[in-house]
Amino acid sequence: MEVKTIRPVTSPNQKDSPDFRVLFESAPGLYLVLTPDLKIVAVSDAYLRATMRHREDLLGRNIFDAFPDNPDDPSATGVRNLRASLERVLHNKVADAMAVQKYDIRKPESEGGEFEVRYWSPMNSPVTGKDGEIAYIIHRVEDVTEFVGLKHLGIEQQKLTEELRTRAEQMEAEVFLRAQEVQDANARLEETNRELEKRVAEATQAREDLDRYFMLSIDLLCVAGPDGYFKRVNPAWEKALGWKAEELLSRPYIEFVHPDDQRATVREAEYQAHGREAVAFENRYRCKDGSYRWLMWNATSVVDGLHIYAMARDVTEAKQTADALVKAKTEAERSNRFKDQFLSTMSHELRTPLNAVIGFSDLLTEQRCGPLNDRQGRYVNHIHSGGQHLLRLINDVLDISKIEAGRLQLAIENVRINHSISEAMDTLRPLVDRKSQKLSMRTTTDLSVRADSTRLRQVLINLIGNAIKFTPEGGTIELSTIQLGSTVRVDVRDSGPGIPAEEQRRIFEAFCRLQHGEKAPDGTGLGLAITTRLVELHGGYLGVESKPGDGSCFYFTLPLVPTFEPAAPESSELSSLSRPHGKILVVEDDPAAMQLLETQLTSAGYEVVLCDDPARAVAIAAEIQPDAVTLDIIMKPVSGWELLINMKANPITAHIPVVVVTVVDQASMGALFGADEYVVKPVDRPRLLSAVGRCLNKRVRTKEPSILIVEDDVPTREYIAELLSKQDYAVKTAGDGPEARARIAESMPGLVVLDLILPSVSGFQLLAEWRADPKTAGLPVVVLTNKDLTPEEKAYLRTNSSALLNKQEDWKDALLKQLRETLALVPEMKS
Amino acid sequence: MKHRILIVEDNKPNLELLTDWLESEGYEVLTAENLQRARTVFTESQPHAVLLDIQLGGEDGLTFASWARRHATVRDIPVIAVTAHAMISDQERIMQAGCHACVPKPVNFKQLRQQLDIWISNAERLQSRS
Repeated sequence: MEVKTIRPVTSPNQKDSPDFRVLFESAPGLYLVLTPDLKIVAVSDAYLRATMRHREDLLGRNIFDAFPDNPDDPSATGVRNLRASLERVLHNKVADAMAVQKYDIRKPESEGGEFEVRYWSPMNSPVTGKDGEIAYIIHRVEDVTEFVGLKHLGIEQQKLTEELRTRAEQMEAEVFLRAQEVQDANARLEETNRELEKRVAEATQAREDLDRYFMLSIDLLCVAGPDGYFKRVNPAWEKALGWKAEELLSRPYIEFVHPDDQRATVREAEYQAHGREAVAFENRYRCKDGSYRWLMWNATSVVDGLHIYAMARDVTEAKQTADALVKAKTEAERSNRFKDQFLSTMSHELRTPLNAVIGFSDLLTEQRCGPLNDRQGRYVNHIHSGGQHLLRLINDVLDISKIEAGRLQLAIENVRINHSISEAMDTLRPLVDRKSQKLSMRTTTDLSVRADSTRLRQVLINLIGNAIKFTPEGGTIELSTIQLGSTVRVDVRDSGPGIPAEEQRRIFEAFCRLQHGEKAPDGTGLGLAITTRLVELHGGYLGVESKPGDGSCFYFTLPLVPTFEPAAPESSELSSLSRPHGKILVVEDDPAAMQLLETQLTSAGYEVVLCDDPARAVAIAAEIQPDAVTLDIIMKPVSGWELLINMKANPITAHIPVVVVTVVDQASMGALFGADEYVVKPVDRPRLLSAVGRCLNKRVRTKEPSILIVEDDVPTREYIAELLSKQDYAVKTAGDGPEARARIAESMPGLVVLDLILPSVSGFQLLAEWRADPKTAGLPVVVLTNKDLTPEEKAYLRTNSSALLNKQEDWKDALLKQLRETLALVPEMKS
Repeated sequence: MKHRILIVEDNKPNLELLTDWLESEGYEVLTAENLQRARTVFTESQPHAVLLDIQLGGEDGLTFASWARRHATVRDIPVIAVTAHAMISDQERIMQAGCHACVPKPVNFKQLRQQLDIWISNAERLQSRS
């Protein structure tokens, strides 16, 4: 109603525009308008009334000059808070409502100029100009003094309960205090906010860096969720597998895994969910083209166990290479086995028909089916020698195959080189004699080499044999040895036609024949190739020096025994005894061999009786009662074996020691039939004499020392017992460790034959026990085992046993030899 | 008394060869071309020795040797392998299976005779002892 009565006020300039100044000044609210530099430019009448000011006192003045803080109130914050609010408005360009302020107003001088307590609720609003900058700030306040004051004065406006009143008082007082706190907190918050913004900026930068690495990595990076889906994959996935990221994210990742790897993958993911890291886990992922790639994973789950962060590397190529290597190796092994099998089969298949060829031609040659005419005889000889040649070829091929396959094991020992040379020369002597050649050895000091004596013999026989073959009748072949640093060089020099330089290299190859020179039709063409490899296996070198017309010299080197070590234990106990005396019966049907034996024995001081008729041998032995008999085996009409059996079966001759002297290398057979000693031809003088010497020693012995056999395998134990009993050794046996201990406690044996693998207590343990006990520390122990020994075990046994014999090998002769050598010394020890 | 030798061999020429040679050496010869026949002849006629081929068609001659060693009545009858398996490892296998000796093919008759002499006289000695 009132409004209608107000007449529009017109300005003199703009007739239609209202007078805004008048309107503003008469507005019912408390308004003050400030410039950005906080000068008062307008003020409403209501404001003037409330602050007890006149308009002319305020316009153009700084607000804080016009309204200073009450100097009597030390906690006055009105100016400070208002300034802060105004600054916020200027800065933020938005309205700023202030909490209730205590801002005391000074009364006019006319009324005493004192400050009056006033409470205000202010609000500051910006007014922006056309340029967007702040042109004015409207400061609007409400005077809440009355309200606050009423409470402070304790005037009740309402009927309140006592309690409510108290609470209201508290609350209202707190409102003010809180408002202050809010302002302080606000200020701190702003500071914190700025700090936070800085941090966010840094974090954003770090994140961008990480992201860049994620995108760049050539390894496959991913994050997988607990739902079995990838949550994020990097571009390396597409490069490796061809799938786009969204394709990989659209299906459970397990669907991309090779069916065979899925179970393992699920298991691995479960492990990770339980906090275990995956390291080098491998599986196959399907590519878009259907092929698979091998991925190797390192993964870890985050603390909450929900997400798995994983990194995979494509190892397909590496795996393919490794697989190819394994395959190649398997293939090589298979082909090697096949080669072995092939050689073995081929050997068998060739030998079978060859048996008929050689066998029947043998029968024909011996004219068992009636006489052959000359021509038939010649033909049969051709068949026979052809067969023999084929057989040698097969043997040589097998030999060389074995060497090349690395299957040839050398039994390296200390060997006296002069001794081996003499043996080889003796073997080939008949061939030399047939060609009227001169074969000799220029002896120097006797050197010992590290070699396999059997193979060394093969090397020497091949080289000397070649020399004999290629040297004309009446020529000379000379052997010599020389020490060159830590090796020994053996020369085989002949007076043959010599070898042209261009052929000298070729002759070491398989199946090579000299184009010139004498033919050697019985060779296989492999001899020199095998010989070369044998020498090389010893760590030596085989070579040739030759000039056509000036003979050839084949030479090879072998490692010298480093310091002086006694070579083969050629026992010299004979000479240490009193001068040998005794009567020896020599049974031998070959006059040359007989003469040799006679010389060797008489030169050592024995009285020798010769018998060239085996049929009468037993009778002679019975009659003359020699101290020992030497016995050849291959004799007619009665073989040495038969003689031996007869002699040992006859009570008049059974006690006479027998030394078998034969080309048949079967010492175990000799032992079986009761031979006391066994010497293989060609006869080596010291060996013969020590064998005979031992026989004579043995004869005067009253009682044989006993031998304890510790072996759990019954047949083997009985076999050894039988073998040794036949040698007149007193034998005791034990089937296990405790039994062995008991036997030793009963009486001390002269020697123990010990198996290593025994029930409950091993042979090693027994040996260790015995060595620790002074009573048994020196007990000779021969270890006989088929256990695969480690180098450490071998070393231990070498120092703690007298001999180590392998059941896989021909151990019988070695065992008997060991017994003879060891026990020969025992009686002297006992007496 | 003539010694009886059982030849177990499936290769006809080789069987004939051994037969002829043994007969010319004065032995009495029995033959078997497979293991079943060999076992029958072996138990029925108790030869003084057996010459055993190892590879008899599809049969492994060593099973015969093992079988013979397990039977008390014939255990001491020497079984000599005559085989074209000439490798050292073959020979070990042969001896382990219970053969008394092993003579490689092609047969060296001197060697074979020696083995027969040794083992037959050994068996006779064992017999005379018991």
